[in-house]
Amino acid sequence: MKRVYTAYDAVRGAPIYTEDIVPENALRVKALRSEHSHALIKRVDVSAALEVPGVLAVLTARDVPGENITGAVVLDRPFLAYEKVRCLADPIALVVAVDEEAADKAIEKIVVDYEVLEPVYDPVKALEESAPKVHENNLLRHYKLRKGDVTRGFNESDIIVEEEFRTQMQDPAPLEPEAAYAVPEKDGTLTIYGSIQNPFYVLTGVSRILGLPRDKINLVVMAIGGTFGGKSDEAPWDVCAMAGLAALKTGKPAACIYGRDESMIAHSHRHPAVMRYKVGATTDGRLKALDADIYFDTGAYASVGPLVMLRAVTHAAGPYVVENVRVDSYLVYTNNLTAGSMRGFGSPQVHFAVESMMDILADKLGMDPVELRLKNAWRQGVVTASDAVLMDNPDFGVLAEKVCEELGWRRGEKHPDEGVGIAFMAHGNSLGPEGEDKSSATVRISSDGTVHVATSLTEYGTGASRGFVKIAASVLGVPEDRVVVDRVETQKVPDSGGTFASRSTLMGGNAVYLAAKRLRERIERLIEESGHKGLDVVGFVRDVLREEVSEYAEFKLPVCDYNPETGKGTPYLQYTYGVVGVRVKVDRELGVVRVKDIVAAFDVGRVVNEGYLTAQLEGGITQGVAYGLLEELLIGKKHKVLNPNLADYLVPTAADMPRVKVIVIENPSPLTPLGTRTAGEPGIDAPAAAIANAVYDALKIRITSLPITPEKVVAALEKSEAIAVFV
Amino acid sequence: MKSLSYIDVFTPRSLEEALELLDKHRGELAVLAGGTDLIIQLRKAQQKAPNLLNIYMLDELRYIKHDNEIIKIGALTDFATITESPIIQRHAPVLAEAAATIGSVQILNKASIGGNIVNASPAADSLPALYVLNATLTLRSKTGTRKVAIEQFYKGYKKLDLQSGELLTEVSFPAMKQNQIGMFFKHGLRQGDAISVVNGAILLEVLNGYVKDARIALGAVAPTVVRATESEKTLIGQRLSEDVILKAAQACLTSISPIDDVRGSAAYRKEMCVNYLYMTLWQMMRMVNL
Ligand SMILES: Cc1cc2nc3c(=O)[nH]c(=O)nc-3n(C[C@H](O)[C@H](O)[C@H](O)COP(=O)(O)OP(=O)(O)OC[C@H]3O[C@@H](n4cnc5c(N)ncnc54)[C@H](O)[C@@H]3O)c2cc1C
Repeated sequence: MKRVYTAYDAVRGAPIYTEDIVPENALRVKALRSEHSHALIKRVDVSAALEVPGVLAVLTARDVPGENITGAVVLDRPFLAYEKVRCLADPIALVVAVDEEAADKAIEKIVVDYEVLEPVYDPVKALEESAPKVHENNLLRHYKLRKGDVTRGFNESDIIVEEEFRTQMQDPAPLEPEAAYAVPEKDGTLTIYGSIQNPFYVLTGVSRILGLPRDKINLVVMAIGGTFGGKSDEAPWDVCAMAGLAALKTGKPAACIYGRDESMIAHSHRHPAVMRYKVGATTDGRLKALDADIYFDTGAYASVGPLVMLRAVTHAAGPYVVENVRVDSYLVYTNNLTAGSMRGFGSPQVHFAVESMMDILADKLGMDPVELRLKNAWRQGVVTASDAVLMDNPDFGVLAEKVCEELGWRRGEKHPDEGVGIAFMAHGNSLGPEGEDKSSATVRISSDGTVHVATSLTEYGTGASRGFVKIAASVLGVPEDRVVVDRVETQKVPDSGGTFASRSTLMGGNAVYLAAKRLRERIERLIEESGHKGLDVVGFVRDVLREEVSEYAEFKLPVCDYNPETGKGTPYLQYTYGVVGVRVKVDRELGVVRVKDIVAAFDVGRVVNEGYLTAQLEGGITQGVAYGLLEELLIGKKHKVLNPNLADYLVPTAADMPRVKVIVIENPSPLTPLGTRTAGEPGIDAPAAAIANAVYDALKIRITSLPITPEKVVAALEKSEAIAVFV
Repeated sequence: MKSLSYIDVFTPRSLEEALELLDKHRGELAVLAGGTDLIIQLRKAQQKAPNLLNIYMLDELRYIKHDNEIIKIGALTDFATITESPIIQRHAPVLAEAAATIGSVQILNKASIGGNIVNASPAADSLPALYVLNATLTLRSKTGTRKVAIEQFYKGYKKLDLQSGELLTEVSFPAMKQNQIGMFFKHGLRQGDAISVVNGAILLEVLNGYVKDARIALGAVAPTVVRATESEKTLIGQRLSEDVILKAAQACLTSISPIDDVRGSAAYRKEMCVNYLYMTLWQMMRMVNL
């Protein structure tokens, strides 16, 4: 059994990634994608493409042996488009050739006749009666949040503030693009090696498309060069099915590896959002009412959009007690690229809106923004915006105090054009309303005394597998170097659910903990029975038993009872809590916002692996700063993607980040055995709002759309100066 | 993205051999220096990529010399060397400043000044500095050598006065005089590895508090780098004051014709150009009037 690759393998350049193991003579598969965002396909002619030397096959919808349909939540996307295309990422034909060059040539030779349809790109417009129909109905989901009576709430408010926010499409931009390599085996089965985040989900999709039973396919997870959500949804299904289909049709090994541009277009993105908020409060800062309409643009297909929407709507009132709440959220189809999983999963958008609103309100009230937040922040036992009692035990007071202290919150003299901003965050742990959350693990001690941990949770740089090693080692009382995490292959490991929602250590960790505990208890019984007292667990298996012992365990969280139709109930049992503070300096002439300082405090419950933990939090904050200031997939006038490359899609460089001070608080959750809270995503939620608030503090301009580019700052300053002159 | 495995690469051991090869395969070879522009372009190109003449091994094209008040830089010299060179820091600090902003450490070590010049991006960061330094390019072929002023070298967007068979071997310019000061500016959208939204260089010669000569070059705001001649005229013969530099900054608008693109709108580019010129001239005014 092969082990999971380590960071050491990655830094020394070991051949651990999918592309590294593709032999020179493997066939290559490439997709022809749509030229239009919305069109009927009238005719596809592949005859000229078949003439290109080196081309073995050109495959269209007709050649799909199984069902030509995919979808993580809703089956709404053809694997190969026919009849109609709904966005630029839609693949229409696949070329199988001896090398990339031949494949590229053949792609240019495929003729597609389109009848162009009117597209719709704005999620609010897409809901209008007269809007072009992307699918039968452009409204995919409508979820709610309800508490009390907002009309009464606003009547009882002394101050009411209103604002509309817009956020952009962010690309997950992992270092390694999607890749798969399929090998047809002699016994008629198919082995597919790939950069696969959630192997059992991919297995379902691929087996359906290829018309092969699940047990005829073995998905082998190679090292994953990052994902941030891009490899969580359907992009890995596509590359695995494309390579698999080519291998089936030709009987030869075939690889499908996306280039950077193809990757940035085809994988899932962060939902662009339009959010209209209205908040009312009394003069002493009690939140009386929160009223919001939230539109999430899921693009041409649902992907996991419905789950993203659930997370967004249940986080839409922030970690605050508001007496009366009405939130309606709409998940809408458009002809944009598909949105789905991306680190934060619907939470960064609403945090930007809510945390901006809190500062707008504080400003109107003439109150300190931290004081206003603390006055209304969640504590154990409060009634949340979905009218449910919070069982968890947050302590925002401690978090805010640490951040204010370290940042020097509004102490001393303010430098010109400098500002500080703060934002609170709460990130629901595990799947909550998104589904039953169950994980499983097998822990075994082989006859040579090595401890093996097997789950289907994959390692993509978060260090979760190191966490499993630590947990198993400490339960079994063995040194960590005796514990190996097995490579994930669908034929060999138990289904532990997906590696998403920051759930690995929480869900998988607890399953590993339970399996290891069972294993220890069983072996201790055996030791006792056989009279070998004094021997340790591993020594007994290796020296006395001389055969493998294995235990399996499942860990489940109770199902949460939030109901998106009524808008009431508990969405998540526990959360990760945080406070992020930033100091910025804004250049008035150039509009450039420089982040000078970031201080962030998080309640992570319990620390399992400190190095990886702070790396996750810092990484999340960095991506959050980029969400606030830099990253946006730009769409041109002709609606092509203008920057599907890392020169113009602005991921942050080290030079863009200031010192990040992460403060970790251990306040164990009373609701799970290990008491840990999740850490993979929470870092990304609050920085954008904190930066927007700091820009306001610096220049008294409120930027309500992300990213906060120099161009927007210059325009807003001009507007505010014009108003100042006018007045 | 394309596989480039079918390309033939010639790697000459001397400049003579390189010129020989270029002559023999006239029009069929692309010159490969650091490859930081070329390889990316080949991977994206529609046509079949040409074979390559790899000059990266030709150390004889790596030098920085101070010769009779003329500074000479070999075409293969990388930007890390240029920005750290005491000769450049002393005699052409405006170029040292520009060189330091190119890409990141990896790019600085690999990218050559010759590649930056011949690639002819309107946003190339060394060009505004070379324009205000009145640089001359030395072009060599098997049959001879010719010298071209940098401003004459560019005929339009990526249109060059460079014949097939010719190699750029050197860029040279007069060392800056005691009474000259120069500054470079660059506006990118992030702090590292940023492509310029606008960039520019200013060189002023000051005598008894009056501007005797002024040269201003702006990048990324027209198909080629352009001289802001109206701004220059506004400055020449004047004492630097807030009033004068504001007028000079605004006068640049007659020289530039920016477009909307992925890095910014035309209007924003214009505004940035004026603001940067003003800010840079303001700093120079402080230096002059100290
Ligand atoms: C990540 C990244 C960041 C970058 N950042 C910047 C930046 O901030 N500022 C900037 O200006 N540029 C930047 N660049 C662009 C590039 O690095 C520079 O233009 C560089 O100077 C090119 O030099 P090179 O040696 O790599 O040229 P190559 O790529 O080898 O060649 C470029 C062109 O010049 C020709 N050529 C090269 N040498 C000669 C010669 N001696 N005679 C005739 N023709 C020749 C080649 O045939 C080719 O057409 C960046 C590039 C990357 C990849």
